[in-house]
Amino acid sequence: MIKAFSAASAAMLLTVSLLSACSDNNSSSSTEAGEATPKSGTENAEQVSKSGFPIANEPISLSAMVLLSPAQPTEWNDIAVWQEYEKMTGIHIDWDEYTTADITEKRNLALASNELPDIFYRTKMPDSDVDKYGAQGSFLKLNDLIDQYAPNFKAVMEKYPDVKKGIATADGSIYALPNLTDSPSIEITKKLFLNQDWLKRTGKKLPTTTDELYEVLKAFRNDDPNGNGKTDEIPLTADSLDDIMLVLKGAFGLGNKGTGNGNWDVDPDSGKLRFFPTSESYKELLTYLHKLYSENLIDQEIFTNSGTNVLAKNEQNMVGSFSFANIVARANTNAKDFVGLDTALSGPNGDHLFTSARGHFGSKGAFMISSTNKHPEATMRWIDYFYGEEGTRMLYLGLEGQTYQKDASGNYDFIPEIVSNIPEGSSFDQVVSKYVPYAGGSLPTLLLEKYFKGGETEPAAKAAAEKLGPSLPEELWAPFSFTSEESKEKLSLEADIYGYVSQRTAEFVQGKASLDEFDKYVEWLEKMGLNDLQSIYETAYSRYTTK
Amino acid sequence: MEHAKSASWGDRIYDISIYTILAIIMLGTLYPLLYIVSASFSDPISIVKGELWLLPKHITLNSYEKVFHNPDIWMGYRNSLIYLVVGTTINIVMTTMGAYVLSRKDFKGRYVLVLFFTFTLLFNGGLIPTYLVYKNMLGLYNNLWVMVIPSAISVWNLIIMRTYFQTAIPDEIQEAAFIDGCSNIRTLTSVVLPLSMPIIAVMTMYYGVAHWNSYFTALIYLNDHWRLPLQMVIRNILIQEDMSAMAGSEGESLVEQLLMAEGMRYAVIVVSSIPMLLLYPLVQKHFVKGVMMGAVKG
Amino acid sequence: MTSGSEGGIALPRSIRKNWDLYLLILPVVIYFLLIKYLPMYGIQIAFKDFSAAKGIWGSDWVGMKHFVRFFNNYQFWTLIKNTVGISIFQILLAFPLPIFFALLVNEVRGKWFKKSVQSITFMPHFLSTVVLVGTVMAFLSPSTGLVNNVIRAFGGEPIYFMTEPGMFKFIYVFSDIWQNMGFSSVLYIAVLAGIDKHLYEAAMIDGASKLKRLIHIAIPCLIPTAIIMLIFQFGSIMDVGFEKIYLMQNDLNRTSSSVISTYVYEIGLLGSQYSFSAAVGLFNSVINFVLIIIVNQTAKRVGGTSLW
Repeated sequence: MIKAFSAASAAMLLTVSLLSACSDNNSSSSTEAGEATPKSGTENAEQVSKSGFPIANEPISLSAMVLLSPAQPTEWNDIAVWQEYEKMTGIHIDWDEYTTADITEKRNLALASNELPDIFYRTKMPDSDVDKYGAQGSFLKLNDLIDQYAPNFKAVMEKYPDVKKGIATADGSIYALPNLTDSPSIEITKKLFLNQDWLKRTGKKLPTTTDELYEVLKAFRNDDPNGNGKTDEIPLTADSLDDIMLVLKGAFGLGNKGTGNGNWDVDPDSGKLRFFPTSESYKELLTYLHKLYSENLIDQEIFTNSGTNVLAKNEQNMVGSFSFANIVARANTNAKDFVGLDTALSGPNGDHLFTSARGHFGSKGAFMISSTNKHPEATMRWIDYFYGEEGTRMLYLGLEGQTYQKDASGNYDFIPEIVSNIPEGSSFDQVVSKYVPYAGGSLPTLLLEKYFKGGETEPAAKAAAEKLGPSLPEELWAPFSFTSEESKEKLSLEADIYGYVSQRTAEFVQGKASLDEFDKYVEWLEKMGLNDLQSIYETAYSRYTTK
Repeated sequence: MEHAKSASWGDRIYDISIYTILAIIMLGTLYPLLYIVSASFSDPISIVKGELWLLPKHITLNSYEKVFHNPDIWMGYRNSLIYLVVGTTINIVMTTMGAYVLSRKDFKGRYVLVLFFTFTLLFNGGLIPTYLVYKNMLGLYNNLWVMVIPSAISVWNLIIMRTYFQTAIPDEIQEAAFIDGCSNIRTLTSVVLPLSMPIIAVMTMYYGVAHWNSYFTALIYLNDHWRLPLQMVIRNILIQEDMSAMAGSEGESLVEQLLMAEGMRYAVIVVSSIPMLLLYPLVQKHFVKGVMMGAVKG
Repeated sequence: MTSGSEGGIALPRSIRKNWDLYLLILPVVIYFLLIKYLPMYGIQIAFKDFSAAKGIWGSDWVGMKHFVRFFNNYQFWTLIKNTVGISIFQILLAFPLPIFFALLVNEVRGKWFKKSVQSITFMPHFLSTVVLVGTVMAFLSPSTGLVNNVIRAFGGEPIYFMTEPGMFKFIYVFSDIWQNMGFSSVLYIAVLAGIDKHLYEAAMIDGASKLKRLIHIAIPCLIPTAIIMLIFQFGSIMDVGFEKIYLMQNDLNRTSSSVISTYVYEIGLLGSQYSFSAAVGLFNSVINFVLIIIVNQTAKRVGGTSLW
């Protein structure tokens, strides 16, 4: 009888997670499940049920390391969702919360001294550490656990091929569950926003090509669109030169597989893996940027800029266009003036591509189970819930009726009592963080746009992303995986080569180095071992394509 | 005492140039400091816009409110004071003992010991091994002791103090004490130390400031939130800017966080350095005292 | 009294007689053994491939591999040049100024003025590196900074200080002087305060001018302490403040701002490569150690003051 019930609830859970429009309320299912907790149950040695709640028949306690966002309560178990989830699952989590200032040291200490918590939950773990400590045996290999205890995550892997390709290490082992997104607005990492008020004043239209952009920027510089009688306009700015290059390089055909592997993409002529900062197109991009910079069309302080600087310039209505993930984090009083491009810019050679985008991978190592964890099955079931739609909704919106509701048109939002009266001195994030743990991002889950109320999903950024959608590359790579030997050599080569690339790039744009030296720069990169790096990447790429 | 005497021309020029140079140095240092204090009272947006010159723009106490609104600030103050007092006491006792022995020319093996100590200034085991030794072998983890024992002696200060003992305390005085039948320890406490107040004052300050400013030990070795020193609390307050750059924060508050962090940075500096600035005049007094005693010895 | 070769104290003393000196130094020696020497077993990871699971003792030996990798790096000489260059610049400028400053302060008779000068110059020491660098960049900003506004007022073109590689060393060292001169001078001021007043009185009776008193009394009294500080400076020539350089670094000044510590950070950040970092650290320590020995022996021979 009990078995039948748990099978039924598993089926229910599955349907819930696969169908997007589901209205059943999870609290009823959890209380029902809560009643059915006799000691018998599953055959599993660990007393872990294969499906349904609770997960464990005996109470289980696990220790976890987690990154705390400043908006969140310092005790993670004070967050309503975790209390509810503990009731549902019968699993207690002992959270060790660390701030961004400490997490890197604490995580490295735990790993290097081999004194591990049971779970690493959102610890800013770099990809290379996932592979490295996985191979050394600090993390459990998850392949079988996923197969048996993670129906939701398995469904996600089937649905998104780049997830399946990106998640495993070179030998096919899976050591971590990732942070995933299904939201174009977040996946298009940087967007170009233009000041439409200035466009109107200068009589220009939204540019569709890089040449038109040049004309628009020139008009911004010359026509005093902010009307203060001074030529203090900054036609184009960003936090860094990189951010500007991100939104422009697609027009030069660069980065045609997205940003998943940084400076690597596929040569359109030969179809081979390419390190594009040595390509002719990159030289053209640099030539274009140098033209903009030397004519004062790019912020002259771009090499030392910061987010606060961009904001300050916006506050003085000095900015004609800027590149960032969203508008509201870089513009305040004049945020309404900005609008995204209507379509991706076309370049001088007719490339019409927007490449500042990644696949569904936010980060690889959002969740790891330590080799010392005594309840791996229960742990896997515990986390798997959050890769289903019901779990995601719980992470981002909390509990139906108590913290969120669905309106007539099927949109979800927090209930007004929670978000309408935010007390003086606290932020929206602080208020909702009493109920939901999403603040700070990068959770081990699959983020769905309709449940996420963050800056990237504000209407203007969303609209900008939608318009760029058709110009995205057909395939967006997940990061490649490397063996530990490859990884070591790669890291030291990259430290040199990437450092040199960004140094020379800056010098070419600023004009300190003439573009006639481009060949010398390529030669020098080859001397630094670019060919070795290329062959490491080629090996990884061939593994990636055959996965 | 002496200003009654008519100073020579040369001395007068000498005085004028000294006062002039010092006045320039003082103003040069003061201006950026005033800027920082003004910034702490200003609306953050005017700081980033570069509107600030000398006086606060759009005066606001927001930054301070935000800092003091954080309940951890007082806790951090209390903890830091405890670490400072206990730590500095240990520092002074240990350093004096070591420095005195090393200053004694009749102490065999002092050069070997100095080399032995100096070696640790240059070579160390690295973070992970040190962590393992402290935590698992010495029990120095998540307690008061880890905040005060590993930093008990700075080689630098040890040598400075030894040099002071060697050069500023005349050998004859110690000799006299021995003839009177004083033991070594008694000579140290009743003859040498009273003559060493300036250096003890300096050591107190150097060690005290080091304790007050340190956060790395706490970062690595403390785990309980309630044990954190002020500098760690402050670090935690200031990371907001960092966090706001991450995805998953609510829109409008991003800008506020960015600006708030900008203003709080300055307020936090003012709040956290006040105790040390109060300590300084207390230390300064002892410079003068030392001279008086030195003069009395005859 | 025989004032023999061992300075003033000529009483013959055996260990038995000086037993309490050994008692005094014992806790100090124990401290160094447990707190400093015990963890040094970790130095071996510089010659191993450290693996967390195998532990420090269990990791595999790889000999000089990590050193060779560092030496063969194409940036190696740039890193050394920048690191040592900044350090030398620091020794030339930031080291003597606190001494000079202390001498000036010592000449001041007005109590109020003296205390003000000391307190104000002492304060910048408490700024965190982030605020210091932030303030420096605000002052040097080409668009809003005070310095460039002054330059513009005189009809000049704004200077992009932070992106000019040639400026990097100056900005680094001068901001350091601004921040630490007062704090470092406290030691020298204390030493000057300890000078026997009789010496001054005797000199005054001899009719020595203030300048003469400075040269013949104050400066000689400072020399031993100054030499000790100088020796220490040479012992840290390979270490330059990581955080400050990192915060001041950008793509355009990288040619002069890449130093050993920022390089190790760039590699270590991504790979947590403890063995490699340990190897570089050990290399630095050895160089520092050799230098400190050379300078110490030189100082001993020339000036008679030394660490040991």
